[in-house]
Amino acid sequence: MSEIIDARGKNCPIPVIMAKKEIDDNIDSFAVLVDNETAVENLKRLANNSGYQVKITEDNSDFKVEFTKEASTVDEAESKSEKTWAVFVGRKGIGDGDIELGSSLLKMFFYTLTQDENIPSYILFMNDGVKVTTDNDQVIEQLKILSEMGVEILVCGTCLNYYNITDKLMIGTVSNMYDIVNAMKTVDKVITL
Amino acid sequence: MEYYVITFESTHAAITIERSLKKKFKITILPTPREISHGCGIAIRFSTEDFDAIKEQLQSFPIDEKMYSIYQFTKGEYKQITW
Repeated sequence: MSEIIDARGKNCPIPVIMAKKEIDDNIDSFAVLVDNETAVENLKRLANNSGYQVKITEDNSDFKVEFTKEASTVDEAESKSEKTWAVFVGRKGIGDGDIELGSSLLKMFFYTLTQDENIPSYILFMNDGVKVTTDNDQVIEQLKILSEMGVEILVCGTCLNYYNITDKLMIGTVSNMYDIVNAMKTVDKVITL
Repeated sequence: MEYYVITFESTHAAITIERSLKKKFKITILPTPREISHGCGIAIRFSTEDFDAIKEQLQSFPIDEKMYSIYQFTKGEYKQITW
């Protein structure tokens, strides 16, 4: 019988931290009990990024997320020759200076990304940058294309919450500092606009 | 696929026109395509169905026609046109 961690009633990052501790301790199989879907999604991502498989069972309004370590695979980064990269967007446009110009440059940047084969692994939105994923119609459209091409789009949930625009999110996954820092660490380079 | 691209003599003209057109039309801002070396770096792309309406709006706009150029993208090539 594998260990069961009760993380019901715990806020945002706590269930992930509890699961991360098990992973760091090299526990091959354990389960986490949580009471909301955001926590389930966060745990799923943690599992994906850490080489675990998950099985989710729902019981009334609780979820049981079972982690099982996958048989070790060849290091993916090593088998790839192309450098991996991520884009970090912390503002509504590119650079400082005129906001309207910055916004046009951002549109052109993402348009150019969709025209190229070497796409980033992640696009990360934080602080004022999260407003791009709620407001900027053209960039949202390009992000949808990039998402279909396999780019993972992570949007800072704390920031959406701060600006009170969580319900206006048009593209991407509501994420947290752990996932965003982890994304930065997995790629070869992070480019800040 | 067929569409139109407008290039501009100045970035200010591009941004002013973008501001005006985006209220009414579905336009895309893109870097001036490499095949068109002409003009500043910002270009505006729009679809064939909006051609007449955009033409009308641009002609009524207080901007010198020398400030921009229109290209039609058809059969994989950009061809400069006049209104």
